[in-house]
Amino acid sequence: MRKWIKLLEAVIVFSLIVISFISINSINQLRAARYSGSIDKAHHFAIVTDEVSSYAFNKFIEGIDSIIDAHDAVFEVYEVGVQSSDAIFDMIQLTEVDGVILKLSNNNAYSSQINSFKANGINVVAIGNDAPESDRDLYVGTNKFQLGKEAAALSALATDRQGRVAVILGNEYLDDKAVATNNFVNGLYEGVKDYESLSISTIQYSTNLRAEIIVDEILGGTETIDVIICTDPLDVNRVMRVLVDRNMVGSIKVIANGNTPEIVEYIRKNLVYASLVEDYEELGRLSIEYLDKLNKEQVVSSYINIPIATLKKDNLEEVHP
Amino acid sequence: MKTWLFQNTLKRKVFLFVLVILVCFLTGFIYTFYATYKVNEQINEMFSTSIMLNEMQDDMNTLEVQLENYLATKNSDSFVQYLNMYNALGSMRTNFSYGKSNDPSRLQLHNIGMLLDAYLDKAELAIEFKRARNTERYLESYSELLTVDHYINLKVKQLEEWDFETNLENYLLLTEKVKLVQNGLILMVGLLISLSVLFVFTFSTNVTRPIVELSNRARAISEGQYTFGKIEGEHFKEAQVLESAFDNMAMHIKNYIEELRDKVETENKLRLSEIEKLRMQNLLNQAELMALQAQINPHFLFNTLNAGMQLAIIENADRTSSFLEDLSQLFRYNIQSLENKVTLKEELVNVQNYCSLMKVRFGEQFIFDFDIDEATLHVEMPPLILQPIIENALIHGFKNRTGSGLIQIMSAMDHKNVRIEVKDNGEGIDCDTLERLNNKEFEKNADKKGYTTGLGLGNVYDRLKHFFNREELFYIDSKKEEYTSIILWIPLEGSDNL
Repeated sequence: MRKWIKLLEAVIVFSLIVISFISINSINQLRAARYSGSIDKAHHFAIVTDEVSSYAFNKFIEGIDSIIDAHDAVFEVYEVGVQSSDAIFDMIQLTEVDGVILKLSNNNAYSSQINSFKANGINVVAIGNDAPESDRDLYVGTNKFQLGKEAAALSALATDRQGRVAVILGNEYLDDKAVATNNFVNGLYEGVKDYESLSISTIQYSTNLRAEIIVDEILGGTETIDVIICTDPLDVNRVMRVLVDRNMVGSIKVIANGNTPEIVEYIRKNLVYASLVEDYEELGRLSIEYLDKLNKEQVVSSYINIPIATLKKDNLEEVHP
Repeated sequence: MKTWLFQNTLKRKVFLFVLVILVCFLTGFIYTFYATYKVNEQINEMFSTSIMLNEMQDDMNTLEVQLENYLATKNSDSFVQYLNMYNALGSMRTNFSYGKSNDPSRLQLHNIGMLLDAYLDKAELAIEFKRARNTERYLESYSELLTVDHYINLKVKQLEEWDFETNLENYLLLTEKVKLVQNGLILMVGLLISLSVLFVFTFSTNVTRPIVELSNRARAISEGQYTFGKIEGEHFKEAQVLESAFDNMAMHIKNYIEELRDKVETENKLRLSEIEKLRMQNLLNQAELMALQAQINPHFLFNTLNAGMQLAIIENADRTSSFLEDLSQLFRYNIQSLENKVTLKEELVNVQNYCSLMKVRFGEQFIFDFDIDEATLHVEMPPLILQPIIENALIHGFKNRTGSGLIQIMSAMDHKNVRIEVKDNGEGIDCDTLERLNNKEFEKNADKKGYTTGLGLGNVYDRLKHFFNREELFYIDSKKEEYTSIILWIPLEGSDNL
């Protein structure tokens, strides 16, 4: 009996020690959670953008996140609109950042600020669309004009070179004033020119109206549509829902943008004809990589093109096995 | 102090018990205090940045007001106030000395620090331009200062938004941890209570066990058990002393009871001896009673016998006269007290009277032969010893015999004794009876026929034994169908003293 009591006492004392240790450790962990992973880095970069919620931007940031530690740098995002562009550029200069990445719908419009940065010794990289009138150090991006031409070619292939094409612009194509939009639309018209029976019926912006409503309006109109080009992966999902509802899957071809799991699945099931894939992550990675090179005063090319990939059922197994 | 603390005493046990319980609950209290302190510290830390930023903004506002006053009026008080704020903000700058941290909040504090530097620079520029009386430039600098102030406010606002989110997360995390700590505390209190209960149980068991054991021993002693083993386990010193004292007490009681038992046994033996004596006295009384019974109207009997004897003389009946005379002497001898002492001569006279009477009765059937040493005649002995022996010879020796019988009565000196032997040539005694008789195991109810005294061999032996206070007085020898001889050794010395 006495042995059992002693054993029980030992077990209780041991339990008390373990519980105390766990509890105190839990409290101390709170401090660790607050400052965990807080490390000072060598470089401080600022990203200036006018859209932070698009698929392209999110992928772009994912690319930066994947490489930022390797370049011993930190970054912060300034959103034009929340704060004025003058204030942002002013703050960036006062906080003495080591480099600026401009991902605006019209980088060229901020040429004077870019020049001011350069005058203060801050390196500048333009992303998405170039700022040829400025002293920017580097441009990294896809050729939107070529992308538009490629979209037109895919539309011709999908419709056997004859039909009417509706375009729903989203993602980084904010409005008709954006440089990227101009380039893409110009490329699209240029591509359509090659096919007599292929024409652009309408161009809509999903930043103004949700894609479902746009498609509903298009399909409810007098003109028949054979192809829909979507530049935002989210819009592709919305368009597909409408087509399914209207039982028009297959009769209207869809040219998508991106390689999200949903789009890959649509292609596999022949719901989407093809998708143009811009590697936004690569865009983020390269922007940091080249900014770092510039800070290290290495010689870099002033124009870095990100190639466009076309995802079709034919090559799906190769790209997404 | 040192002595009892290092000894296994009850005092030390109580002290340690209370100490352990106190330590248990003190540990619980310290743990609770520490947990509360840590939680409070975390809460303070969550808001420390906000407090610091708020102070900074207040100081900036004051600085701007004083600077504006100074620029407008060149008031020295305002300048002093401005300098105070300037220095205060300069000191505060050290709180923003973070590097280019990958933590967004710290990076923002780094930015605020940079902006604060610019802010203070603009303020100094404004003062310098004021002193240089460059109105345009000092107004420009002041305006830039306000712009930087706006940027700082933007950054602070952004930081507070982030901090709010972080603090909210931390608060939820803290709440979760506090819940865990609370559960831990409840569990700990429960365990501490259990531990205390176990300690109390162990302590009470340790203290009461030897006492219970001692009470059991007390009960055992009352039931007659006096030997005990050691009480199991290590007990405090006082219990050991009690146990030792208890064992000693039990030992003493045991020894005392053994002594008492020996004493009682001795007393019992004495009592038995007394009873034996009383029994002998009873036998004597019995014999005396019988003798008294035989004295029923002895004078009447003697007078009658004398009358018969005189009648016989008148009628010239000599034999009748002689017979009655013998009978009269026999009765006279028989009715005397058995506690008297007589000489062997007197005893032999009585035996001769008895033999004469028996001869009248049985005629020539029995021959009585006396072979007496004259030197033995004066030896003293109890009365009526030989007559019962001769009576036994007549009754038992010739019970189934038809021929004549010889009864020899012999006496002789035998060292310090007189050897008296009564021998008959009767049918003898079988071996078992002989052995029994020589072992002095006599039958209680002797054959009481009209021709005997009624005093058996047992009576004869007992009276001789008490008379001479010795046992080797009597021996019977016999051979079946040939003889029986009863031999008495009457001590020459000692009988006088009786």
